[in-house]
Amino acid sequence: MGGIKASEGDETAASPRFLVGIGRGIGGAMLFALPMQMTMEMWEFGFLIDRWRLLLLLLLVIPLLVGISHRLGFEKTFCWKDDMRDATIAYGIGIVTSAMTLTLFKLLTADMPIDEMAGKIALQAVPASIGALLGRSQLGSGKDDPEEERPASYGSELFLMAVGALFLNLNMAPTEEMILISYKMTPWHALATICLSIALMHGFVYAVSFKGGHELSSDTPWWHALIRFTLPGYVIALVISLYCLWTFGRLDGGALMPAIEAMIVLAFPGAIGAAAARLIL
Amino acid sequence: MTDSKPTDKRAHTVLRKAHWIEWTTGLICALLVTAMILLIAYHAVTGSDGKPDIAAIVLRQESASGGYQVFFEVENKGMRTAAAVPVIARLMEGEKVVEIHEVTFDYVPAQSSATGAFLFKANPSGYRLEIRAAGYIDP
Repeated sequence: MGGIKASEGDETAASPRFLVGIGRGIGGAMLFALPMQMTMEMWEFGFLIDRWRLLLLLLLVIPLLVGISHRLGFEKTFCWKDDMRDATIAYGIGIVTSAMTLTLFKLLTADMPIDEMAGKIALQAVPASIGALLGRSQLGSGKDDPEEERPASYGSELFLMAVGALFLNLNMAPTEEMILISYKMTPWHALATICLSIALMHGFVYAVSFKGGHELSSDTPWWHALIRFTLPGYVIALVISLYCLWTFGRLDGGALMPAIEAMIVLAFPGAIGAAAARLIL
Repeated sequence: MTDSKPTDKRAHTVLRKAHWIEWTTGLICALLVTAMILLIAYHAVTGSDGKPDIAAIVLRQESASGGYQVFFEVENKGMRTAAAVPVIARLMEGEKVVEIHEVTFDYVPAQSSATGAFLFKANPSGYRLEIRAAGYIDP
């Protein structure tokens, strides 16, 4: 690894370490975004998705990437300027890798309208850019950088949950199965799904709290964690799943109850993603 | 509201009191989840055994390149979602069928509507237009 030769001086060490970061970013973008790049619905949504909703998604990703970069990132960042830079690089990696993969699969061809090409790449760049940033932490050295651990505030705990939920939801919201499952379910199934989502989340929250963690001492009653972490995390998963369904037009023309049931179905993986994010990231 | 007492058993645990914002957020979220559970439970008790109730209505028509477009809406007033709903449109002159077209909706969710359009060669204004949903399957 290039970063190991740090003893030669900061100037020479900085650029190999940065290149390793870029490499990890590309790896992360591929690892996290390939399932979506090889999903038929995601190609179709490249031209089907409402342009205002796509624009909103693309704009919302910017603060999200800056926030992730503040916690993880290509290099240890100390100020918002560095975070902005890392977020921009991640977005760039997301766009380039998405364009490459889609071209490789012959999903982008020269005779396509520019609007369709831009839509396809832009949509795929969202998960790919998040993956590029997460790749830094997931493919990184981890235990070699103990000083990287920062004390997490309540807000950043919730933010991490939102990232985890959004990531799994972006994977699943475009597929027709989400609404199909909700149509097959009765309200009783929906109630059971809510209970299981909360129970699983609480299991994760409890596990992470005592991992040697930083939030709860061992004599804290279980329901304190339920109210302060699990339920807010579940509400975050619900809101993000509703947003993803809306973005992909899955709620259009629908009434309240079908929307709520689809939201609960999608929030099930979202809740697990949200809870696991605190454990993994 | 002290939820964490100092203890030296776990040296890595950073002890701190829960901020009031954490409790406020938690309680608001608890209320939201409870409200959602009650709403679904209400629907479970009152109307889970319903059936789809589908009807198609014509919204408007416009001339398009090479013919006429008739926009329509399929509404499902029932409590269950219908899948693979075929909608058939016929232009009739007396008992004679002048033009017939069919489109299929993947889903018409419960208490929701979906829209689409038929493309006719002849001007529908000169004939009797019949549009109806011809069936469904359970999802």
